[in-house]
Amino acid sequence: MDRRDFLTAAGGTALAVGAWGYGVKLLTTRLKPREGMAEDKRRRKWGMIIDLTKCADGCDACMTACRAENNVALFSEEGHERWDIHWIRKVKIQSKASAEAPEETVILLCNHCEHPPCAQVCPVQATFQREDGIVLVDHHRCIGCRYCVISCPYNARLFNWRELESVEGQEDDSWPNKEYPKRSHGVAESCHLCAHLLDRDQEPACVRACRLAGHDALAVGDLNDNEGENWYGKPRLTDTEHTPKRLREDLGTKPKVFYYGLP
Amino acid sequence: MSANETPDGGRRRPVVALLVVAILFPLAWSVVARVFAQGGRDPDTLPVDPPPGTAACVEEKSTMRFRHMDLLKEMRIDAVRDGNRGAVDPVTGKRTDITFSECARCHASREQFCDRCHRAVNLEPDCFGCHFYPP
Repeated sequence: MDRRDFLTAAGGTALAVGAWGYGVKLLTTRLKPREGMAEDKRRRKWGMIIDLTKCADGCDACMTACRAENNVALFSEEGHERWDIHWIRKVKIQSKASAEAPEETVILLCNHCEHPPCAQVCPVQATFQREDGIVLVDHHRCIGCRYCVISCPYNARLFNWRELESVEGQEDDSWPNKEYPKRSHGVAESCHLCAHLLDRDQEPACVRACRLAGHDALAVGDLNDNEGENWYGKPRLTDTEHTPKRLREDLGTKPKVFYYGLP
Repeated sequence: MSANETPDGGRRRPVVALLVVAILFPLAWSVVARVFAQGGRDPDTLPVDPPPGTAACVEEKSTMRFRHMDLLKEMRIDAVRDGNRGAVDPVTGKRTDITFSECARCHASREQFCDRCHRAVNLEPDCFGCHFYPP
């Protein structure tokens, strides 16, 4: 190789590398800078207080409102209940100590743990904890491995084995709230504390429904705020006689859902 | 080393030239077809502009055409991960939401704004399996 060939090759290579680098930079530069969560929002720690003594038997206002707000799938056909998704549900529990023990109703939902096992096991970081403590799924990223469903000690995570489809000629039940997306087949989901509403300074759907039903059993708010200013619903914040309980505190997940009147 | 000094005495050169032409042919053909097509790209495959008088878009038209997918991805990360779903203008008190409905306020039809162009370039983005956009 003579000098001329060498210089040509070197110049061409430099030009190609430069053009490539410029092209990559052009295509990967963000159009809008990432700001992160706003400082005042980052300091919050969203949690929930459930007063089971106020929760009425036979009332399903919170569950219905949750479905209507978040497009949670409910399959109406006979025998298809096993595909149903529940973000918030009421279960009846009875102490095993005696057969005469009274049946108690408990509201179960995602506990938004401070140490969420679902986020720890997620291999693609689709499940994560926001800076303000809400645990939620980035459904764009979820690959449907169901590790989170298995790891959740509260059975709050459910998997979309099927997608709810609209039936032609009928009113579209699969998509009651057009402002909020559905979930596609093959992703896991659970309560996200209506993060899309909290971000817009609006009340979560279940809290609103419980308030409108006249029970005031649910409250969502900032656990760092003991004055009750940054709360939705009517929380029992200062109760000297009772201490709120959390579910399975022995596991060390530090749930942020507190119960009054838990049997 | 000049071409006359190759081991086979330059007999491979037409083969190499043919190979290069074969590789570059589709690229060249698309350019030629574009140039000779009447009036450039079929206007039925381009997004329809919103009616005059609507507010300006978040970016220039050319940027939006070329990089709207990047912008959507960035806004998605901001909304899902950081909870930045829009802001209230302190002066007018008007709320700007980061949602598809915000796009749909000007670009009212999914068929005219998204689908026809995606169809023309043979793309099937997954957005509308879960997100609602007025048809």
